[in-house]
Amino acid sequence: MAKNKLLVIDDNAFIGKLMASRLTANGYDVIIATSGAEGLIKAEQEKPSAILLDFTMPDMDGVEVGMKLRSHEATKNIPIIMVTARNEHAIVVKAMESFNPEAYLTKPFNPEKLLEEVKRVLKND
Amino acid sequence: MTKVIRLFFFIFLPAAAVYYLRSSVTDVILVIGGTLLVFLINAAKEEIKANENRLKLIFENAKDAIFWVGSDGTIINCNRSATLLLKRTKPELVGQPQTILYPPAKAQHYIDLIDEQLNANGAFDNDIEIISTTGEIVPIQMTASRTKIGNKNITQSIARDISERRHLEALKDEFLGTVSHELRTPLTTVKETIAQTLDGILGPTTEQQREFLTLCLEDIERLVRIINGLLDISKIEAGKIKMTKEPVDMVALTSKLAYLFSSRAKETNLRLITELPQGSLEAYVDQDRVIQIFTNLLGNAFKFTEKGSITIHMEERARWIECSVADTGKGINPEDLPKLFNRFEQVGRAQFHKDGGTGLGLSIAKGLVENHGGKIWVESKPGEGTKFSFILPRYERDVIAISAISEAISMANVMHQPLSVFVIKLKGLNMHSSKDERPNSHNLHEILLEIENMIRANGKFSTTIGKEEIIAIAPVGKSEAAGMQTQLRRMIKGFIFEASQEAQISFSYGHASFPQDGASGRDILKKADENTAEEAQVQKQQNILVVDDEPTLVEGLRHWLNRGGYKNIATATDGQEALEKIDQSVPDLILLDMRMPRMSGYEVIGRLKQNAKTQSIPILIISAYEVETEKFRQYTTNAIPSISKPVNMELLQKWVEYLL
Repeated sequence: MAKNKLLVIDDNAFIGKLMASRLTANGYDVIIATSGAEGLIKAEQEKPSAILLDFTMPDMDGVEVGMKLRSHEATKNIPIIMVTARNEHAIVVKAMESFNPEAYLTKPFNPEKLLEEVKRVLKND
Repeated sequence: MTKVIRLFFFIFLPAAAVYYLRSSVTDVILVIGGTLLVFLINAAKEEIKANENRLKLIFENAKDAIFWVGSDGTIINCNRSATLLLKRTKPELVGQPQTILYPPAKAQHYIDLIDEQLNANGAFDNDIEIISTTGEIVPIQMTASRTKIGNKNITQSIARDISERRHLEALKDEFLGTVSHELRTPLTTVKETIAQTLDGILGPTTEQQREFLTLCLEDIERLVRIINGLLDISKIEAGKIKMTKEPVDMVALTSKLAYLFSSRAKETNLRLITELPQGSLEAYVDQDRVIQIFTNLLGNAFKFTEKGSITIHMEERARWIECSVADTGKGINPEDLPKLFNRFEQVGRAQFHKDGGTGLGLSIAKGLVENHGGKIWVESKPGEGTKFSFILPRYERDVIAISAISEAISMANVMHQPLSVFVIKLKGLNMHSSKDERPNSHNLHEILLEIENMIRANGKFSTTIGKEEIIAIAPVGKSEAAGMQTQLRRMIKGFIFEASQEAQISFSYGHASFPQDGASGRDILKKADENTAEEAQVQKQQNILVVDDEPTLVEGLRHWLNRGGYKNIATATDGQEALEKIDQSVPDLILLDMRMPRMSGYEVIGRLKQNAKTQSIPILIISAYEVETEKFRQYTTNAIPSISKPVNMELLQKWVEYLL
């Protein structure tokens, strides 16, 4: 597992690109996936050090993707940062109960918070 | 009228003729008087009839449903709209008890509520529900008042179907939610792109590009503020703003605000004065929203004051906390004062755009104060400065808890159901404070909210939250209360188990049941408090059996558990001995090694799971080797937790606390 490779799963390609360029400027390698399915494939292939998972994708429920990542041998130990636009406790509690993400970010995201959380999650690994 | 004229001619003239012939003046006067009397009486009768007809017309043709209910509770009269609303004919309604109007489960509750409010305020105005013959429940807004018809006391109720209003409200909510997300997402990407360009991440930039992009960024930020303001004000005005109220120390909060604004004070050369009471002052409010109120008012104060000072004042009143923000600025003209809290009114500003205001600050502040049940007002004199004052409700633990429980009791009365009230108090030890608002941050209140959500998601409880406690209410009687409490205990322990990396949380719980333990909210709360047991203490009384063939490990564990406060430890060095000991006295938890002579851990588990008396004893496997779970899958579908040797004591502690 390369130390600083990150996978961003978000159906909004522009947001994915922006996150990628911000993170790249701070020393990380970034791969983007624009659907849950693509995200799962790329996670297995590329074995990133951490995954940023969006929760507002229409095609696949973020919770489902999180659970699948945890159940596959190749990806079960990769820390997941949950990115949600909705500041509701309900979905976060649901995520906590089903696959327990390592960290949380809310959109609209603050670039400093983003970098902080990524650093923290990678340090704990 | 013509009837009267006819009467006049047919009675007066002949009478006059008769009496005229006898030519007595008094007689003539009598006749004239008599006829006039008849004339007036008939005119009056006509008036009354006309009035009655007018009222009948209004009554019958009114679009809203009108009911008259007598003092004995029966329906005396109703109009056409009422028959349409209820889908019944008038004969089917008149003479019936008023309970047929409402859904059976809530009928008595509504009737009592109407009585209560009429007695207290003389008027009733509420959104309730009515039921039609088809069983359809229709939401209505009902106003009622007491009046007299003839000499009978009746209650007149007017009901308006609000199903359409409800539908529109739901659409508006959905719209606001979607718009909120749809507007913010593109704004975020635009803002972030500009930010990255300015940071040089997207390549080199020219001086001029940077200048324009910086201005661009300011405009985007302004747009975000306006959108947030608009969404806020829409939600506030619809009464739909979600506020998480909790006990908040207003003195601490204001001091923090003053500190945040102190740098602004320095920049603008103004003095920021705080006049706060000693000690703490707790309000029952949404902390973020109160900060928003103060920020709006302080922001305005700074904008409109050239020199002098800005004073934040706070004092205690009986049920309220009164706060004010006063400045020595230019003041506001009396004609402008009433418009002040209106949306988009920006009073006295030639430089509208320069300071980036949205014109919504004061309306938002007003909406937020009023959503807390408080009031906001302003005093100002041109040239002398302005003072904005507002009041917010104080926090009293018992008031909130008791009112929640009382409400539940009144519903329970209506439904003829018992009730059990559980009070769970949380205490955080070794909580690390954290600046971020992540839901699993180490803030006791955040944890309380999460646990509350979890309990509510379980579906069996309704919940209310207090300062350090959760009140969960379930519609079960005293006999089932213990079982429910165990469920709650399990849920909370599971949660604490997950969260315990970040904090140590201890909790205590108590319960009381209605009607067995008391009849009022206050009694029930008192009883629940009396019954409160500390989870930690309860645990320490439990019996633990340690089974391992290595005597040093067994002694080590016993010693360690004793130090942790668990006094009742039994030990066994092989499976057979363990089963014998369990047979004598059933433990509350078994710590079990797997590879032992004579009888392995697997066999022990098998035996235990097959015996009804012992199948639900929690087991923690302590094993040096990989646990072969298939070996006991046939006996139990539940996973049995295991920890490996060498034993991590902290992990062991967590599991023991969780499993007991």
